[in-house]
Amino acid sequence: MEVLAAQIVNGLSLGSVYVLLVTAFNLLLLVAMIIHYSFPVIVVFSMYISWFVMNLSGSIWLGIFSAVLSAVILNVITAPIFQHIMKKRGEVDINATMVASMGMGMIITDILSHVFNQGFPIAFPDKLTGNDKAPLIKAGLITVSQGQIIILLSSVIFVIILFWLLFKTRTGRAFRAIAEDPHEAKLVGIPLMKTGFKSYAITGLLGGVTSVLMAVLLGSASAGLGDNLGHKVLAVSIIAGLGNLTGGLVVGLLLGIFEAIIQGYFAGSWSNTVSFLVMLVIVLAKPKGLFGSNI
Amino acid sequence: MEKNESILKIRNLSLYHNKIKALDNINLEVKKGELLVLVGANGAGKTSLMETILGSNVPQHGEILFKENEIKGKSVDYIVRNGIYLVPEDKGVFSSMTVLDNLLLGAHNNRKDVPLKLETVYDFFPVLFDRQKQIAGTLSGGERRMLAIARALMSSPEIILIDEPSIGLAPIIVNNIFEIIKKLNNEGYTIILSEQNIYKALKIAQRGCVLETGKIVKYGCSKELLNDEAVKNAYLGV
Repeated sequence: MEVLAAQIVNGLSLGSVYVLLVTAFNLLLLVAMIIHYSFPVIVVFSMYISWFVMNLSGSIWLGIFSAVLSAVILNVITAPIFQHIMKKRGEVDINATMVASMGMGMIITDILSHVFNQGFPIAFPDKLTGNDKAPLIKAGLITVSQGQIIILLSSVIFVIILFWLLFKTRTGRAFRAIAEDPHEAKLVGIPLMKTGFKSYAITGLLGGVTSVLMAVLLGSASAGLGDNLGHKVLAVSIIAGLGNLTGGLVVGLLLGIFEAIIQGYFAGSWSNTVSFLVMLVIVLAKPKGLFGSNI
Repeated sequence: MEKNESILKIRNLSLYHNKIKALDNINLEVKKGELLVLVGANGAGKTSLMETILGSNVPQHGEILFKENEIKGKSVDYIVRNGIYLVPEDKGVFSSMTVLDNLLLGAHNNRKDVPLKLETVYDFFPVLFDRQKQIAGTLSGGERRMLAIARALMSSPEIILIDEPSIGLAPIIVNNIFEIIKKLNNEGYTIILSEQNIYKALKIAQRGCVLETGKIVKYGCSKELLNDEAVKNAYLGV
């Protein structure tokens, strides 16, 4: 029982990172109308940039700032590529955007493994991860670190901000209109490209924050991490229902908890296999996802 | 701009969808404050013409002058911002969003005096005030049409393009919608209405324009069109 409780606590922090990744992925899918499969690669790229800046400057804050900035910049500069594909074809071609995203992901992953740390995984300083500090709560096997609390709180805050933006602001209204019916949104005078561009900036910001939280959670990163996360984010989105933001929140969190529980009882390397087996069963039973697709 | 002055001029307008001619050398003039009805069967080019005026279709030939300024090739958001708004056929509202959100979307490109505009819209459509927090998808067909028209008013339009407002509605609701359109016109809004319910539309319009396979085949005063033998035979089943 104690193991279960401990792994649920661990799973919540892992799940909240998935939640941020899936939310950003869904937002891009709904508003920019792209399947940005390699969005997590951009997040991992930002982890590398922040690691580089931290090592260079010795400043944690500068590292955090550079992570957020690099994610926004990289996400925004890739926007014209996707928008060009859409413009050229006249209509949205979601499959073509996925191929473009995969290509981008491969290039970035290759750059990361060739340019940084001679291809070896990178490790973040204890000052960032909080590994040098005693856990805030320790009760038997259950430990709650400062980092876990930061990850959970940050995720909750950013999800609340994102939902506020979506449901209480003019930009959010435009996002939702495009998500429901792009053609009609265009007819009411919403500029699709410009609004789509805003979604790249916002998801870039979200990606930057996620990269910092992942650095705190994992303490290290490797070039292939983005690809691994890409599979999971896509799987969570499909299982929740493509474009379903609420579904993404629930399933993202559940996946984190589920993976942590498996790691608690079995060898950690089996967590992917078991998770994807469960996801396979769900997809077979509910092809449109547990919460229904919004696409 | 004075009433009866020309607000929209369309000259030699042609539009191709791939290689098919959707609009063929259209010449049309709309005066400020008038209600012009576009009459024609399905596929005659009514929606294509409206979407071309709005900038959603880019025509291959001709010009569209709005208040003497060329708007051909301009983006939809530019044209909406400058005072032309389309109430699209069929769905017309964002069904997952609230009534209020739908109305605010109408003011997306024209954010001046939003509270005042909301007040005016609610005066015009009191039912929407009662349902402002309701999800638009749960409204009845007639209420959705009202919401789509109300959303147009939120953009402070100079010309409202209304595409087939009676589609899928019960006759009594259609009467209601036509009364609203007439009332809007009486309040000074310039309206271009596309409609298959030709008798009703010509009854409330000042002028009409009959389209066939993308061409204007008749253009004139609505009373004349109502009495035109060819129109009677083709569209009124007389």
